[in-house]
Amino acid sequence: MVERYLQEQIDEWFKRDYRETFMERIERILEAETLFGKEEGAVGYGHTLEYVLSGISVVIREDERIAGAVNMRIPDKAEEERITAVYKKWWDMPTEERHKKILFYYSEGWLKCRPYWFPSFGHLAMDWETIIGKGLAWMCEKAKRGLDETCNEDQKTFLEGTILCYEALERFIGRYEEEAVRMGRRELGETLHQIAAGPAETFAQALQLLWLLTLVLQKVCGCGVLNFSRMDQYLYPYYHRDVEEGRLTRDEALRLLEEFFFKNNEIMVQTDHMSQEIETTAYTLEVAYDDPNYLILGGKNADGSTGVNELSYLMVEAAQELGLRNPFLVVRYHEGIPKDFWKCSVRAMRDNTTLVLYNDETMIPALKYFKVEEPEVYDYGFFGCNDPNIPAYEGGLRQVWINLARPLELALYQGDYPLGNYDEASEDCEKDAGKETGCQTGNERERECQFDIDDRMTGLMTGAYYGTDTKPLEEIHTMEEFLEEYEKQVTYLMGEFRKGFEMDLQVEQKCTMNKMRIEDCFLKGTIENKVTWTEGGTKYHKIVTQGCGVATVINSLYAIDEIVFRKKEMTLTELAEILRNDYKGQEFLAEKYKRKIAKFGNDIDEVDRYAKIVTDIFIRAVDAYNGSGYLYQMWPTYSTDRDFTTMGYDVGATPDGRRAREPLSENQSPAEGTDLSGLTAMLNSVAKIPFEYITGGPLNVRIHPSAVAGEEGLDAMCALFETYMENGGMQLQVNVVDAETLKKAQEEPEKYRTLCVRVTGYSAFFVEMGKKAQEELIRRTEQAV
Amino acid sequence: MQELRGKIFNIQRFSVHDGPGIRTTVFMKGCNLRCRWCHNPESYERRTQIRYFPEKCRECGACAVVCQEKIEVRGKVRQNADRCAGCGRCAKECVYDALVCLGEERTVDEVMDIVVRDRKYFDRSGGGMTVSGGEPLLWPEFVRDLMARAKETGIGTALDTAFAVPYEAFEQVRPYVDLVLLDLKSMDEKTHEQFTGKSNARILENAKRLFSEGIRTQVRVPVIAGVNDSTENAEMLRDFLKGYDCVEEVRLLPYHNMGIGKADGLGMRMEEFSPPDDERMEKLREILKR
Repeated sequence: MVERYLQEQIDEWFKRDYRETFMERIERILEAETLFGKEEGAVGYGHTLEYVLSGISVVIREDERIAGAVNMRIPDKAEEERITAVYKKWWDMPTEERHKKILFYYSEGWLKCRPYWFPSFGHLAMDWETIIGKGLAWMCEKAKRGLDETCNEDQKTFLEGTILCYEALERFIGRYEEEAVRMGRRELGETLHQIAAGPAETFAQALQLLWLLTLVLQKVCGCGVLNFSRMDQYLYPYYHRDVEEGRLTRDEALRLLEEFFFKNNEIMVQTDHMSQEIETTAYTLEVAYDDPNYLILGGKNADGSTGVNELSYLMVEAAQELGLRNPFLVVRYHEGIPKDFWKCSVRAMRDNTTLVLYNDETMIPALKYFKVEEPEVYDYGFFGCNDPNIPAYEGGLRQVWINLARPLELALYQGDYPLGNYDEASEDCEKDAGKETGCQTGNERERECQFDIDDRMTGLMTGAYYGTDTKPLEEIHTMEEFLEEYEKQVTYLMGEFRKGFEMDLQVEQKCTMNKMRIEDCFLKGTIENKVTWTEGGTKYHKIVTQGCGVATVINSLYAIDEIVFRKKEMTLTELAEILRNDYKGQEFLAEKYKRKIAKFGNDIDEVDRYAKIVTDIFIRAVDAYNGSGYLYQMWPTYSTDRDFTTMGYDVGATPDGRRAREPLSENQSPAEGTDLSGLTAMLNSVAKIPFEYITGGPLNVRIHPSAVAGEEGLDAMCALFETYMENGGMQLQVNVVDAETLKKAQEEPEKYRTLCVRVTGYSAFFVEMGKKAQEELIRRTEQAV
Repeated sequence: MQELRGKIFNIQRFSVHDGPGIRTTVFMKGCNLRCRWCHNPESYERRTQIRYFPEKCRECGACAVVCQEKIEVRGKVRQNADRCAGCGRCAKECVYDALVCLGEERTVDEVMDIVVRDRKYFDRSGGGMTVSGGEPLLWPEFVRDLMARAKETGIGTALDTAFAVPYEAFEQVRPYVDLVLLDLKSMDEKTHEQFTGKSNARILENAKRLFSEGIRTQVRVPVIAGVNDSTENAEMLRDFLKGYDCVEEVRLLPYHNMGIGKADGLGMRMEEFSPPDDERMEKLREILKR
């Protein structure tokens, strides 16, 4: 049971108006621009942080054990307009200019509220263990010692900036201490006194320091999407000692954790920060300041022992009791993981706790393949949408979505982009579509880089992409030959991306010297090397390279093999022509290819073999543009995030029956509604992807609550997931679906063909059930809620 | 010699309600009971049938082109569907999946190729293969061979039967059955005959024999309001099972109307019953608590 005072806070939080925002920060930041915006990079940064921290309220609520909150309010219309005008002034400029100020920026919503002289994108893990183990003063001393050694001007400015930050943080915590004392909260005052400068000595102190730091990072610096990394590991010594010495009980620890978890939610507005099309999200003045955090549990240690300990259980319990969305728990599976912890985690998943599973047995080999070394490889974790992360050893987010369906069509059209003249162009153009030249303008195809700067900055491949010249289809006589052409196109696009990335990096290195970010104070290597992580201070620099549409590509390749090479129903040239015309006049064929050619996700080896073929091609292409010549290494994942729809929009018809502009397959899932052979069959198919080369990405699984009800259902779910991991699966996240989904399934049955439900003593596909039976099931589900 | 084939209308993977653990359930076609509440009316007939989904159909006419009986769809109705010989060509041709073939002849090898794929899931969960129906014991040789092969492979087996067959049919498969899922619909002979079309005398006699042989059994009762949800029926069942330790569990499965929609697509009509309310179910469970 969640404690009453906390439950009340949670209830209040759910009622909060989405327009409430951290106006104190915004006001101070706007003032800081005139005061410090023109100072030397890192120093201006430090002064800004100091200025904001000294001006925002310190908030301690009655009853709470962990201090730290922000005052929010609804701005009036005039304020709103003024702020929006400033944002516009900051960022309304060509992308080339933006790039020089901020590097990578992910999306417009994210960019708009970020001060250009006070940047951070978060998406990383700090060296939490050192922060709580040594304290802020120790870290500050280290930077000061650095200043005493020989430094060039840049290094000096950088270190001075970090020192300003550490000291500002110490003073900020000091203000909290004063407030606690004023309120007569002696014990809390002592905790705050200790951690203002010194290391944490107890479990409660460690959580307090982590929280105040998180509050500042996320709400003041915009450094969100934090990976708290393996918290059950680095907090365990404190927990253990406190319990041994009688300072703490298990229950008290649970309550502290629940408070800490809730605070991670409380700082977010009740909107889906990724859905910028929704009014509530579009409104917020602080999109970038409302990100979730991640926390890693269990997993294998470098010495081979399990990381599962009492805290791992407590953290799952806390998350399950709260039932909120933040933090996002990742439980790391390894061979021999304690059975009861596995069950505890799966039970939470069944309860729709925000908890996902990752497999050490594929992740660690994959990261090692991409040159992550021991022992830190054992501390791997995630942030954001399943992006892998080595805590403390690397800075923030760089990512690119490699749309694997694009090279497929480039191989079909010898490098030409099929939608370029299909949609926008005139009648004449359409008539010409089949001709080799089409209406394509030669210079576009030979542009400087296929990834233009906007795409490089946001990571998405939008609009037209052209490929390299590959063999005319008449000269391709076997599937293997076609695959060679496909690989040439994949490799070409990867090379184009690398080329663009390196061009950007040169600009960055010229324009971003001294542009420190708050995380530079808390990573391994930045202070030691006296240089920001963006300039190379940390050991690792990665580009999350997200392979997208994998099932669409697998299905399409298999379909080509079937139609052209095995059944010889038509030539490759004829097929390409039909696809280029988006099955126009051949709609029947689209339906046929969609349903009558076997699909990935049904445990059919002839289809699933393409999972390995596609992955091998993808990895060889990545390898071709990785290596010691580059600062940033690409780490491939299979993850579309939520962009499978936007990515599909730029892809023409595919041989799996997918029409032009329809969505691609999502993440690692089979294409929508095509896995019809049961959950085990689906998992068997996905497990055929050679995940020992893939460093992340989600597999979404929907299960109806009734299929996993009761103790037997839970045992089945545990066995199901463990077997998947044993079979070489990488990741699992489940939705145990509710009545609302079932209603949507009634409206759009095609999209929910695979939803498996238990009727009473057996299971059935929901959309295959009669309307009346469906209604009954929906009503029953609602009763159960 | 021609290889033995059985007619199967569905192979369901990740089946978690037909015996312990994660299972693959093989549904044999054909039944000798006609339970009026049946949730699998497609299993009544031994012959292959075509199920029609009017909401998916676009009346493209492709089915009629390949049909030997010239059955065509007009106005979302399969005209002269009674002439259908169940050759299944139309279903192969239908790109909208509006026609689905129920009942395909498969060899033991073909079935096992699918079953063994989930072997690791069975092992970890204590699951295995369940053969259900229809009435699987109408296919005694095939089921015997299939189960024998499963056992050889180290896969546990369960047989889901209504048992209205000669006991000899069961004796053929008995050596390869780990668990029997026995459906007992009503203890009252008249009610049984009225609602299933057959007396329960042979079923009960077979059940006694089964129990006396000490074969692990789970008894399953579909509970239909006003048909078999009386206190008397539950008490008779309780007394009937008394003293047989091999009956591990009695499961009461409340009625649902799933069969109605399926029957529509087969050109059949099923009447609608009601499930008992929760209170009633609880009462029956209480009586049968052993």
